[in-house]
Amino acid sequence: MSDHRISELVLTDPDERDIDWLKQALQSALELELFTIPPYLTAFWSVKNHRDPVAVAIREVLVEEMLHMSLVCNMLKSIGGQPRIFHRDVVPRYPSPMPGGVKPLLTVSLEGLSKQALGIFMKIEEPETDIAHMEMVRTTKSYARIGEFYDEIKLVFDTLDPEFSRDGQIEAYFGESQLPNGKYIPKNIGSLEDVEAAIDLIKDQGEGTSESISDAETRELAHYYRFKEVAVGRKLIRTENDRWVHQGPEVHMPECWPVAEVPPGGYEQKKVPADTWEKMVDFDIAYTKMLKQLDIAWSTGSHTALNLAIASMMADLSRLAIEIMQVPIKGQPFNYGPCFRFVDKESS
Amino acid sequence: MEVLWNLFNGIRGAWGSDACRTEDMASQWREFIQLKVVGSPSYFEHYRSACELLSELRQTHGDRLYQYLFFDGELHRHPDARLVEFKRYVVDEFIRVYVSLGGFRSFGGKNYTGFVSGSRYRSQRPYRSYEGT
Amino acid sequence: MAKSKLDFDYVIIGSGVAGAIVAKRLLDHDASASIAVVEAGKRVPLKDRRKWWDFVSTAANPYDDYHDLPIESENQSVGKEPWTFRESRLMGRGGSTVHWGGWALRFKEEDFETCSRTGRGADWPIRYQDLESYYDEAERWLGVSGQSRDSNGVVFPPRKSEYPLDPFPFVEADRPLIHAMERLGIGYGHMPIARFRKCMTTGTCRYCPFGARFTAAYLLDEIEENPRFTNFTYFEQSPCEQLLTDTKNRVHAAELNCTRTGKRIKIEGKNFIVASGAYESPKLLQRSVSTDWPNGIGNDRDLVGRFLISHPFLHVLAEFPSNANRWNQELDFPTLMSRHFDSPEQQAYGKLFLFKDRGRPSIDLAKLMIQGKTRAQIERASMGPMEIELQGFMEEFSIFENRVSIGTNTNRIGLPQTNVDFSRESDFLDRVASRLEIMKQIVKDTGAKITKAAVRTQRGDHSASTCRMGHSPATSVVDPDLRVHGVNNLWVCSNAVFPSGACVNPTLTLSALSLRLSDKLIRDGGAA
Repeated sequence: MSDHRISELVLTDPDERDIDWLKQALQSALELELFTIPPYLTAFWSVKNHRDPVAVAIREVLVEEMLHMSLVCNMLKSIGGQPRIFHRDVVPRYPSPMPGGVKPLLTVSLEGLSKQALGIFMKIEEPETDIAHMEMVRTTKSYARIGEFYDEIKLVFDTLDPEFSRDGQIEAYFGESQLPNGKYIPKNIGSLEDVEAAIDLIKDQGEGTSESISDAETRELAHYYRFKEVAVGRKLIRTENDRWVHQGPEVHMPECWPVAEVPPGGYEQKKVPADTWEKMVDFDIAYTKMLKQLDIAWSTGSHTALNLAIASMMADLSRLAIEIMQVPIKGQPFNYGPCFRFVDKESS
Repeated sequence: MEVLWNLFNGIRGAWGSDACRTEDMASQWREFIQLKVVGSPSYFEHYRSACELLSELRQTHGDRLYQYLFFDGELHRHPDARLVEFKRYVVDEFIRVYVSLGGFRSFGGKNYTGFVSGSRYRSQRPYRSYEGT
Repeated sequence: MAKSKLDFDYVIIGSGVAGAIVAKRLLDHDASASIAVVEAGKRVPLKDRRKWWDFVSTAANPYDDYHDLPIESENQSVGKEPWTFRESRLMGRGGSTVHWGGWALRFKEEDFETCSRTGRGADWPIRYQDLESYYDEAERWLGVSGQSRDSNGVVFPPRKSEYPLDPFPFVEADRPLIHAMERLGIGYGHMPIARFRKCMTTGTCRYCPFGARFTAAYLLDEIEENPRFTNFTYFEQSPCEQLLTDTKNRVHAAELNCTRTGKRIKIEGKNFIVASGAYESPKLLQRSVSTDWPNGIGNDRDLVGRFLISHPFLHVLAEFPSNANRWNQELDFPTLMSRHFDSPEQQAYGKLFLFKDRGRPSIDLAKLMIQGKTRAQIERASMGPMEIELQGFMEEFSIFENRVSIGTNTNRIGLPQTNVDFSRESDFLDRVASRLEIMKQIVKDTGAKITKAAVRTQRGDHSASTCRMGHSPATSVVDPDLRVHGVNNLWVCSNAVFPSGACVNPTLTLSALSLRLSDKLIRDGGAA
């Protein structure tokens, strides 16, 4: 099944973009945000020392991805849509291209942190122009970047000026609530200004703006550049003539569990030691439950459900994943990793 | 619900600033009301009576309703027991909820009792921290 | 192994941190082990959003009803020093870890040699090194955040591992005390605190909506939710009336009073572990009277319940004229602490563990709003005078005369009244004065004006030593493996077994002892 929804949405005649277009686009954006989380989590967990600056950088990216996901859900709710999170067709599978036909040549898989994995992460977050090199990153023009897609969404919001409702949204506490200058980050979406602020935040944190690669207020690098620092092996610094160059302190690749690329469909029971298999199943169940809680959170406005989802990600999932990652695959120089499978018949 | 939400917004009107907005407290406030109504002891009667009172008081005080409620009325020692209860179970609790959900920001600081400030695993601290020097 | 409904491999009396850890560890080793955990109190609803909202909006504490009442019929203080319980323990599922602050500190090497080094109190029959690996593990169980090195780069007590989780950075308001300690050359560090990764810094740690602060109740939840632990039974609201022996050296049953049903039941077992805290553990032994044990089990030498100690609480309050930066503690626990005076040099005078008050500086914005203060008035108040308080625990030495015993009444959950006979030693006030001088010097250096320096009325928190461990039955109640002298299948696992209490919170040390006891039981198969 090839999924071109986003490419198709972007190609839709601007005059034909209505509220349904917007709902579909936001659902696709939600799936994009969801899609990035398991690969980043796998890379994060594979770093043995979670205090390593590289692990810390990935973790920050993860928190921001979750914030983006919550903002997209709220945008969808604000125009009367219902985010779909807990559904077999929505849950990402790996290895796979990104959903919606974004960057169809890029295949993303679940694997431990490596230079290769970083290269893929950079491609996910890739800006139009890498201003640390002042050269165009993109070579073909036929596909939408994520940022461009969000720009389109913003434009359609502006054009349609839909009726907003603040009901049923969940103002999640991931990431910042307030910028250092005291300005709020709109977590509940109820106006075009809120939409604009939310989309700007998503774009700036992901790929940076064309003028700046770091947030002027927080001095945080956009995701793309944070990954690139590790890939290049040098921190970005600003030169006297105001250019960004990779000439800062060295960034070392941390020691990682050598987590193999998870095969399509995940590992098979017969090829995995029994106790590791048990953990993989527990992981998949916990993951599925987490998605279900997120779905409940945005369908009933339940903070209890949101808290359960977060607690599960920070406790059960990480514990099981790290245990699985320590098990070597027989006859290979690699270890197992969690499969992030959707379990259809999870109990309760 | 809308009457109560207006009251909650009135609190921001009286003490708030650009540093916080009630829209970003909406889902938590709504959860608060729902749990107070369905859980035990139920606040249903308190809230129902509050709506009635607010509509009566609106007639008397018009635009100065919130000025009366929050500053001038001395509701906690009002001879009308309904007003005393309204102040205690509705107004005062709303004020505490408002402060905890971010209203404190108008008076400085990054975190406050009851505010979900977020994970400490971020370069930006969830509270004002001492980083040496 | 098929068991009758009321016959168990292990009967654990008490569901606090000790009982829960032992139960969990035994079940992790053998999922089919038949274990009973017996709890006198009820179950505090945890992670309940309504309760949390009530806590935020009305300050109603969800576990108020689980504390001792401040009335004579519940507890009696008969010594020269008034002994208050207030909120010093929680009687219910999970025990005091349901309300604790989560400060998780290790004792230091010299704390295990109190008597040899000071001539007072008692030595432990084990050393720090015997516990070190269990401390590592306990920190993982409890999810402790901390940093090994203090500001002077000193690591004490010695440890091979880093803390499982990073420390919480100091709050901005720690600055004056940090600077003062730096000027005075006093080492300081991060308070090790039991908060799991999922902590969202809500500032309502006493009732965490995320369950991010460790409590033993979560271990019991894990046990009860695990379908593999088929032979685990939890007895709720069932104060243990007494332990019954069939021969002098063997306990065969525990008699429970199920207060919900009014029924008395007898549960039998191979091994009995009393994990009921420093008050109820000795009281249970004292009231388990038989012809074999006329003074209660293990009490032939009248040592059960004696040597009661706790931590005197010292505090120095001070005020700055203004708070231009509107500092606020912003967290519900202290981030700054110092073990500089928790040292071998200070041991004979009473070691001193220092920390900044978790409640200051603070401003109750909602209260001012409720009082009808305007925005401008609150602005002024929030930048007005700022209080800080340096607080400390002082080590106390145990003496024979200070004791816990059973009163004549019964408290509201069905436990016999606690009778505390406690008096201070003659040099107590001198030692307090010298400790307060140290604290005053630090606070004075911040530039703040000291408004109070005193020792608080003694409370029952951190009580210990009432069934202390030792090699000889002549001087101790339990042996180095925590087994009651003279009984083959009865252990005490509680702060009660600490021969000395150091000057830091006891929970981590108790957790380490619980893990050590579990391993011992697993290795030896108990007494079976």
